[in-house]
Amino acid sequence: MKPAPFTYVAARTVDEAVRLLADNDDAKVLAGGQSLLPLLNLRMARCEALVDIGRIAVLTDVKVTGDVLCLGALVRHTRLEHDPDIRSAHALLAHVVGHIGHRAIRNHGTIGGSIAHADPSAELPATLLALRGSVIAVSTSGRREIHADDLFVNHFQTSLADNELLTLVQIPLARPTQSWGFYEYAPRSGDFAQAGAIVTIDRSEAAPQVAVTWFATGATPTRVVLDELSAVANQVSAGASGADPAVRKTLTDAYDRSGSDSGKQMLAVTVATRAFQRAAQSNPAVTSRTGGLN
Amino acid sequence: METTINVQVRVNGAARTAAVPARTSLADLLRDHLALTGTHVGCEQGVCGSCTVFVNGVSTRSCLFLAAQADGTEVVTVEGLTPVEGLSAVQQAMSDDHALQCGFCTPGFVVTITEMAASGRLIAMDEHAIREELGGNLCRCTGYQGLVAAALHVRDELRGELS
Repeated sequence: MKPAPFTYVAARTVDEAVRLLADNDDAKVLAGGQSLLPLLNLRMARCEALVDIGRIAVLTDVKVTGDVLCLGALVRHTRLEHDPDIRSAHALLAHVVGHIGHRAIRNHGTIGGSIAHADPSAELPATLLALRGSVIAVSTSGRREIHADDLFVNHFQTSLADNELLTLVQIPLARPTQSWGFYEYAPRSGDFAQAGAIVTIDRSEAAPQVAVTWFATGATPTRVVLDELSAVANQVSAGASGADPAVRKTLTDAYDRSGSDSGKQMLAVTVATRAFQRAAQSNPAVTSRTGGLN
Repeated sequence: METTINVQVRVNGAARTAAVPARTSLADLLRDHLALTGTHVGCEQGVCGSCTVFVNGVSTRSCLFLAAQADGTEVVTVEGLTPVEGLSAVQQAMSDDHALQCGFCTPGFVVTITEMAASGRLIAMDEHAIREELGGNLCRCTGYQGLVAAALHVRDELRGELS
């Protein structure tokens, strides 16, 4: 199918883009187009005006400021997958994008677009939540920072206002006391996940913590801190097994309390136990690189 | 009211222009306005891969890319990957290994496998990795055996050149 008609403007600057969004309350932002264009083609979404931000070069910048990785909204999934600087800032990003669609999709899809689109089965919104990241939103009224906890409101809905442009994604750098594990179930590689989990373990003495972030299990990704496991975080080691009934019970109770789809409980707990196993087996303080197993 | 876009794009090395409605995809620009019908339109959702072309050197779903976005870019289609005489190495391997029947998915596979080879990724791939990488192109006729064989064939040729 073909989209319904729309007007189109290629914005050359962020200022121009937000002015266009302010002028037309039925305008949508076009970044990589890999989520928006299918919806327009199927006429599941419509808009009167398309504001193309794809030529705003500053939105492709990547830099580390202090202990935060700052990714411009237009950074493509392929770059997250292959850029060695991004991988050394946080290896989880390179790992999750390999699960997004296929090569041609990843060549054009963007981190800003994926997060703003807020598909409940998407990996990048869950990654932002798991890693305690935030985004910068710009409009004609100014600029604000939105933490991941306050960003995902409902399926395909964020707290971004219609006239706000997501310009930057901020992710704290990986620390040596932290490890992560990722697992998703999709019927075929590249399909949307039916359930996924990211487990993070922080073995620091000051703030030990084990947390699980589920995605594709509810209207938004959901993060739960596992208090019982956090108390023994620095003892979670390669010997810890996801098959340990205590771990499974902790994850099951956490899932039941999280308000997620109860029909997916068994699948969700299974992906979480596998993610936990991978996080437990990775101890960056011992090994020379961060991250879970591939 | 719809915008008309004046697109200037280099396609297969030649400067081309067209004035098209804003909602025109690159696929439709190539097929309907530039008479390059080698690129096919299957699902218009990005899943089937039959529309895959190169834009500025990277594989692209031309059904998920507006003609307007292609303004000022370099596009290479299956027509541009075909030598004046004979077939490219990828095309020859596909022909030799029975990797096509109806031909609908074929141009998309040619682009995908050409990129795998040219990027340096194919030479290091085992069959499992090749099958995963080809998962973005769907074929309803062949059952994929010949397509995988063709990609392995191209990989082995690349390896052979080095030894």
